[in-house]
Amino acid sequence: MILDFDEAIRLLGVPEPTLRRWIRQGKIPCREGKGRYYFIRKEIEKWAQTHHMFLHHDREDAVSRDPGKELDLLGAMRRGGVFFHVEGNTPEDVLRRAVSLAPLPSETDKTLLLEMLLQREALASTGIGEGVAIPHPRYPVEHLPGDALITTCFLDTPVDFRSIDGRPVFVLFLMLSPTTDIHLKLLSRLSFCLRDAAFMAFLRKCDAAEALFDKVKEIQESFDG
Amino acid sequence: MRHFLLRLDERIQLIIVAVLVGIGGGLASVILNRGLAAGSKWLHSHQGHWYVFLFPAGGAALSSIFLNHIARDIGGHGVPEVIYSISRRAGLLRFRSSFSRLVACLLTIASGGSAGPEAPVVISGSSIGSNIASLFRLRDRQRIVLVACGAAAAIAAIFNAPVAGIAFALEAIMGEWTPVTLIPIAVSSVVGTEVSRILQGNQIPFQNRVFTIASPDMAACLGLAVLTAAASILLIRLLKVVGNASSTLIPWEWTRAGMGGMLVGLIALAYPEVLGEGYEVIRTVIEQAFPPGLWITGIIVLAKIAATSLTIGSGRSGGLFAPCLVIGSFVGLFYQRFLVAAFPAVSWAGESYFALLGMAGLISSVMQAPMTGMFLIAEITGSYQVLLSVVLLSVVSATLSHFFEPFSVYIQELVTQGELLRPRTDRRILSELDIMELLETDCHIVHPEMRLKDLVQVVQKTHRNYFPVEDSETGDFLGIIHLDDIRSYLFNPYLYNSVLVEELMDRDVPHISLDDDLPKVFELFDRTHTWSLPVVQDKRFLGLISKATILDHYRKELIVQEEF
Repeated sequence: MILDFDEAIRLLGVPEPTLRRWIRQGKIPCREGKGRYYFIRKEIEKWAQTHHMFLHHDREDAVSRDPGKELDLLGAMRRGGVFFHVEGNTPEDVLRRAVSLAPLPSETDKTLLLEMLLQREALASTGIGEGVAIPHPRYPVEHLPGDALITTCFLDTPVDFRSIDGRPVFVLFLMLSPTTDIHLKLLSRLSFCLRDAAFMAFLRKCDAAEALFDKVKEIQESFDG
Repeated sequence: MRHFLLRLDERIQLIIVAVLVGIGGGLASVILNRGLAAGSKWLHSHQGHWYVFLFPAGGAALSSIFLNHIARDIGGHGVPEVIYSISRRAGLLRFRSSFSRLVACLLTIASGGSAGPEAPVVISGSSIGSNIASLFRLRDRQRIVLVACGAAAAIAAIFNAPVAGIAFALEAIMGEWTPVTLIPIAVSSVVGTEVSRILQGNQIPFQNRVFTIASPDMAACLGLAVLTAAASILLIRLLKVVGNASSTLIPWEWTRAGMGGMLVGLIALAYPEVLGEGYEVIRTVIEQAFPPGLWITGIIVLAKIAATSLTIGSGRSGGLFAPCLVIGSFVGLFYQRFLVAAFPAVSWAGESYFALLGMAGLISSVMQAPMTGMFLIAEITGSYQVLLSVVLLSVVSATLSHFFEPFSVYIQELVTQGELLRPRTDRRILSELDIMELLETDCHIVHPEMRLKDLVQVVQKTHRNYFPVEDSETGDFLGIIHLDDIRSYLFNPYLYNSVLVEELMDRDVPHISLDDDLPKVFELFDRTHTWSLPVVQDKRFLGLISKATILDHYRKELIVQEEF
């Protein structure tokens, strides 16, 4: 297999001037034809082995640079569903309600999930102020259907979540993610929406799921743009 | 004496001690020579009887029993062990190695085994060097030089060839030529040669005649180089095959050596030329007094290669120098006779000329040491007249065989085990640095229950990018937070109170333990594309290792290894 100059740069993981210098100094096996350099893959591999040099094979790079569609906040919210007039007077009540409403697969242990949510609340409140709480379990949830989901629950009566600003919570975003990385990215996107005063004003009056999704889509587009 | 010595300049110290090592190496070779002469006389008195084929078997078995049970030293023909000790053990060699191989080799060769006396003398000389260095409590670096001094003195004394001794020590043993090592090695080599000359007289082993060398002979060298390279490759491969096969087929070491010896004895029934170290045979060839014709000569080449592989591959006590010389001389003889038959019109140089060239070719190729080959032939034949052709042939032959067998017989095994660490190479430096030396302990430890707000404060106070997370109760290492991973959340006060460290940390982080060696650490760095890795031992976080620190230490290490 023959490699051209750019492929060799990627395989070796060195900057272009370095590879040019190595060729000039004769440090690396290289052929020349029709005014350009080319390399025989087998020769490079043998050379790398005798010099204990690490090669960056294409496959590994593809995995590490996967952009991923998990960042789709809107998709997670659609999958999680939106519920109005969720009842309960304590954080535990509303969380139990939220867990039962969330469209989870039948094999999910809902009692365990609730316990993990409460554990997390015990460590520190997930009420981030302005009447919003983003409860999530202490550890990432495995075996979620598809990707992460966010279940939005508008509460019937505001509940005291011991938020930092002391204001009672009127909306919950129950966030379940397969990895902490996805969790953090979703959280960051959601909090970007929540920082928007217009969105907060809309949330307080919101009464239809589609209207919420439209609003989120609008903000998400400005975020990505 | 020692106090006096230690007050001197390092270079003077080395030269003085090198004289002692030279005397030791010289004496070892004289003792072995005397022993071999006596053994050879005894063997001759039995020549012609049917039972002689049992002799190599008995000798090889006895030598193996002696090594394993009486001297309790490990087998091996010695030179790889010396190189290993220089490469990995700072030149340390056991004292008993200074005599055990001599006895074992005496038994092998005196009974007819096809091996040379040189490698055992090399390990004796090197061991004397190493132990004298330890006696005077010299530094590792000096000990390594003295090990090479011992080897140089031994080779110089046994062949009466001081320059070949120097070349061998530098080329095959040290693997580098520097002024600091050259001087003590040269001193030692000269002293060793002189000791042997005083005790045994200045004998040129193979006194030669005068040659008339014409241009066709020079051109013919190239053809001979192909043959010597082929013979060398065959010998190297066969040595490996016999070594592997005998250790898998026969479990007991002494039977293994005995079987090898017996096969050699059987070959010798047909071709007695293969027996022993073979100096007598070489002499006959060089004196152009070897009667058999072209094809018999060719068969003897193969027989000697087989006998040598069997002796050294099975019992492994004995050197390769002498067998190489025998094989080389027969290859040369074969080639000359072929030339005479094929081109009768040309007046070729004598048989001895080609025999000498063949010897140089074999030494250069088998040991990948062309300088040693050149000087050895020039010195043991006292003929500098052939130097031009010898240089040409050694270089071409070494190049050809390098193409197929890139490593000499001595270092082959070490290379496959990854134990060959030549000075000033990446592996050598990495092997000398220890993880403890590179550990950075000034890290800010955080706990899983801390909020992002607290973490931000920690980040503000330190210059570090990595924050290890420990369980606040048990102290176990849980994971690590990298600034890059959380940079996007740092300026989002919305999350300050609701995000915990345990939600930010990377739990599945690759880590190093104290026993890992640095090449492995680098592999991990390359594979994970990170700049720092945590060192974790028994679930405890000990510190970080970062590429930047390694570079810093690496440079310092490289600088202190420089010699002027």
